[in-house]
Amino acid sequence: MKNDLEKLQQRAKQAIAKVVNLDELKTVELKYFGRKDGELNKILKSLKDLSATEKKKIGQFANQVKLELQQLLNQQSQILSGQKIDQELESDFLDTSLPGKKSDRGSLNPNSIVQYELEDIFRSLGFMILDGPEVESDYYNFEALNIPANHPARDMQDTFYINGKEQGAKSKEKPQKLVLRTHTSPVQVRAMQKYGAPIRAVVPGRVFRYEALDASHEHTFYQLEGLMVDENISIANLIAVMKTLLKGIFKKDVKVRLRPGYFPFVEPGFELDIHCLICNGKGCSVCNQTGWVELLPCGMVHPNVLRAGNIDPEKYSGFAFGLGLTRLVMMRYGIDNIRLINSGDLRFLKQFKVSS
Amino acid sequence: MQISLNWLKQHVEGLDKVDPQELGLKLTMATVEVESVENQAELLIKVVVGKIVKLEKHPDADRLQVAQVDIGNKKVKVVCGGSNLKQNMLVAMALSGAKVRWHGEGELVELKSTKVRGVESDGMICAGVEIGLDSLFPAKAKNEIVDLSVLKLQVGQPLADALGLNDVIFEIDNKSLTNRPDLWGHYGIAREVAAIVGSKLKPYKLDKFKKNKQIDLKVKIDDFAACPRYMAIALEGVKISESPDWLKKQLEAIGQKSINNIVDITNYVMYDLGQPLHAFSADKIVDNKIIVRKAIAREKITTLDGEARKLIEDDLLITDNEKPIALAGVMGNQNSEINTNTNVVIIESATFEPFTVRKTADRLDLRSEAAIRFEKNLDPNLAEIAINKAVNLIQEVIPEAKVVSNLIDESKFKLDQGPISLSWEFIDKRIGEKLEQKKIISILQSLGFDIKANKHGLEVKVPTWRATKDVSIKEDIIEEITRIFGYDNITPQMPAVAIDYLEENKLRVFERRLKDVLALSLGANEVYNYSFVEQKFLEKLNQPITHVELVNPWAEGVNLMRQSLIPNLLKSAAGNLRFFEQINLFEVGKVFIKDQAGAKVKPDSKNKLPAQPLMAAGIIVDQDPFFTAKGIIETLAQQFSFKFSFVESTPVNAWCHPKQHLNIVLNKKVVGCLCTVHPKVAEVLDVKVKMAVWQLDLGEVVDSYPVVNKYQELPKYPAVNLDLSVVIDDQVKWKDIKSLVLASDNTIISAVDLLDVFKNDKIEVGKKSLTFRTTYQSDERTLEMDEVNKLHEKIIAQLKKAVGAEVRG
Repeated sequence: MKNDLEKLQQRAKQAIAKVVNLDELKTVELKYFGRKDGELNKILKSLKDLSATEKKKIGQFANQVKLELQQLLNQQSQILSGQKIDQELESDFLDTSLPGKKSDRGSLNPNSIVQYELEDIFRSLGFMILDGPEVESDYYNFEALNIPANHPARDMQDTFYINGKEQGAKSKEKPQKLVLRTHTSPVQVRAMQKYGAPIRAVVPGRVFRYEALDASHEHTFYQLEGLMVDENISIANLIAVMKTLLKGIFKKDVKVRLRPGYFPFVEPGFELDIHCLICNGKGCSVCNQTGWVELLPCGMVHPNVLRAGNIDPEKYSGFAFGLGLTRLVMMRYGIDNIRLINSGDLRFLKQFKVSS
Repeated sequence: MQISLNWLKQHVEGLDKVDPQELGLKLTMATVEVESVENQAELLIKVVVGKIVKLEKHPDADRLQVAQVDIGNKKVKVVCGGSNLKQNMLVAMALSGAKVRWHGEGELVELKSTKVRGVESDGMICAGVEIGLDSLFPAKAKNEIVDLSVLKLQVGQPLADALGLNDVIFEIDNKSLTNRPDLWGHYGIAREVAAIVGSKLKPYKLDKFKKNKQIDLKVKIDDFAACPRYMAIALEGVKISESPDWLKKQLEAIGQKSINNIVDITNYVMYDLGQPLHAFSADKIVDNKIIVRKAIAREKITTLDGEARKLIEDDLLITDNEKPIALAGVMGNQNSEINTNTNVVIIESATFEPFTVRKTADRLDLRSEAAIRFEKNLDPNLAEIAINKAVNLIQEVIPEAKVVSNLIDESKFKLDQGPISLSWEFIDKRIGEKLEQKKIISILQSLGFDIKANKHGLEVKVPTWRATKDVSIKEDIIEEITRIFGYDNITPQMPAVAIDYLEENKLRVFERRLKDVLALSLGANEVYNYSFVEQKFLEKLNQPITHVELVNPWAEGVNLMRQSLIPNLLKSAAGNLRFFEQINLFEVGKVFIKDQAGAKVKPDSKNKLPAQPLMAAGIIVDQDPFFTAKGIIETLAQQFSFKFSFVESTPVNAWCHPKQHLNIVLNKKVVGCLCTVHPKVAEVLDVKVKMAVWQLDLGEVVDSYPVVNKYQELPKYPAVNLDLSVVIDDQVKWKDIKSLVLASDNTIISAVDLLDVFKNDKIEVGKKSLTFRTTYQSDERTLEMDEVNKLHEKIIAQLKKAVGAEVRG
């Protein structure tokens, strides 16, 4: 009996050693360990004919053989599966130079991307983000902004007018002319009327000018209006806030200069120029050789505008500014034709993947 | 506007010491935008008067000649292609080292001795454009060089000296002085310059003159509102001839052509003081009577430029006793123009109401130098100074000229010169920095303000030239102080403000989130279309026109304000189909609804603007655009937890497919819709593929945003999913199948989801195969398979009975 076992052990060892793949190994395993027909089992089945002491002795030996062979099987199995993976790695060729799978990402208009970036900057400085009508009344677009009747800015060449009157114009009131807002400034007055002082707000939005088209002028473009009103707001405050906001936009300190500019709704009014970022102030075609780029008209809110907003100009003062959003977008992305922004051309639009 | 430095020097002391470039910069920083500072002599360095003493053909080039040019101390040889070269001609000779602009183009090039086609050439004989003299010496033919022969200049003399070109010209942006009536002449700019550089402004020099009453000149103003002041005077013995050189030169320096002595003098006074004058030939003025009146409708005149003009009642006229003789403040008439026979001139110096002048000038497209000035609201006091100056100059230039009338002065005006009082505290607070009181006072005084100061503050009397609406409030005074002090000299100071909670603008927040979902999760591309829509296009689509309309559309026919985002999106899609097969565009923007009320037109008004709801809309082109569009709405609903339902309805818009149209309903309100684009509309657009559109009214849904969903407990017992494929009539709706399934049991069916719908040749015509999955689940126990199977069989039976569904094998 023991002899049988030893022989089996010998044969099995050889068989396991000779095996070259996992399938063969499986066959070997079945041959020796199979539950029904396995050779080891057959031998063990004949144990029942032996005496108790023999049974114990042979049984122990048989177990030893079984364990040893099992271990060998496992070892061989590990080696073979390792080899198998190695082979697969060898044969499984992948052309890694093929392009990746397309993911279905859309795009935002470049104007939206820059606008949202600015909104975030202003929110971090404690400004509300507001909105207002695009078809405006003469009152909000002009009169409340200290642009009296007969002011040149009201001339037909600048303003789109709406045919017909406002809603419900049956009362005795003098009917208001309706216009397409020529700036986002009307929202200054609407905001002051709604929220009172103190107030800090910005208004990004679409504005309209009846203007000749060229590469940098459109009848439809985008502005970002800003307003801050509080007690004792000064020119020194305006300068500081403008510098901070430009730092937010350009992510670095930019050199600025402030010079007189005339806008009826501010007094005093300023043109804020930044040091040309293209030539660093040395003078180039972008800045017309001056080294400066006109970027940010601003000023101290005119007392008449504060009054229109129901704010007492004796108690409060403030500043307002208007950023040319479209201009910033063009500068940021090097867009040389303003019409592309409103073109709806997917070849253009698809270039602006959403980054934020 | 061009300002001459030499001219300014006549009015300001000590300007010789100031660098012109620096002065230009200072003016920009304190007063007006100086666009360029041009030194006339800059292009004429090393350019001298030369005389061609010998002229020969170039041996190797047909069009070139070799000239010997005498430049005073020596002769130089130069190759030249000038078409008008002549022996003994005086020319502008640029020597080696001169910087010229070749053929008037590109950057400046420094000249060097060189060989031109094998012949030594030392310098260049210049054309006008090459040395910036093209306005003084315009070329009459191609390749013509400047011919100085008529000027009899000294050979070898530097050309700048020979021509007296030693001026510096400041080009000022007119737009930057629209609010400054006082700056439209050299004296006004000189006053600013004096204040900026701290020099003294010389008093304006006027001489008294003798008058007599030989001519009984009369002036009558019908409309003082339109003409607050009219002054006139007649001079006799005025021989019209060429102006003296000093006058010509001064006008030419600022780009003005000399015409004759009288016109030049009136122009000179205008460029000096900013007050336009007009000269009439007295023999053409009937009865020596001048009347200022409004025009009669359709009245006709012929202005000095020879154009016949038809007038309207708003135009203001200068007439004599019979006929119009000038369009007030804009241009004179031909019929009273001074001419070589003129002996007596009448000089007009008046003030006209700005808006009247501007409207007329704009309507007739006649923006004359006079009109540009009158529309800025001139100080009526200027009229008196100007007419005095004009008489002085006429008598200086034409010593025989005699004043033969009284100085007529009809006027009715009042200026508000204040005083404006402001406290030191106000000044300091508004500037945000304490400036020296002495400094503040001296700045204001240098600008002509009269100051009374005490320990509390200032009383500021506004000078007349700033009192025509320009300076009227405290804030204006702050501007005067700070701009001269220098804005950049103020130390920036962050405002000290209270921290407060910021109210969210919910609609804007939602709009931004929505755009992100559309672009990031749904692969849509955001487009910005115009707010305008073409009427003809809508008519072609058969869309009723109920739109807000523009009076002055930018392009003809594009005259409506969009009432929906869809029409322009249809065009965007059609345009992009040239390059793309699949399209998923969206836009978020305002639309304009004529007969719905929006915001108030004025705070105290009952009247409203048209409603301007914020809409989102999109257009899809792909294999199955309707369901892509529906999927977008469903994804948005999921993302924002909107409980949208879809309701079939008859569409109202022309672009909607009559059968493939769904309203999107939220809280019983229609908040949007989606549909296949009507094939007729596609045909109008010449689009051959299927398109679908969707739209959502953001204002209507934003109230349901944001929804906070409570956490749901995880299921305790497993679910059983059973799939079922049935063949049914094509017309049977999924919605009905789903309700049938759900109706078969109300305890353990937790979901019914469609997996697939298809038709193929193995399925009977008029039928479709539909596969769906039913999920069975209980929150109380693990379901027995038997129980589920029984229910499954029941569903099959019911579907068969209700809609004739056959289970597909």
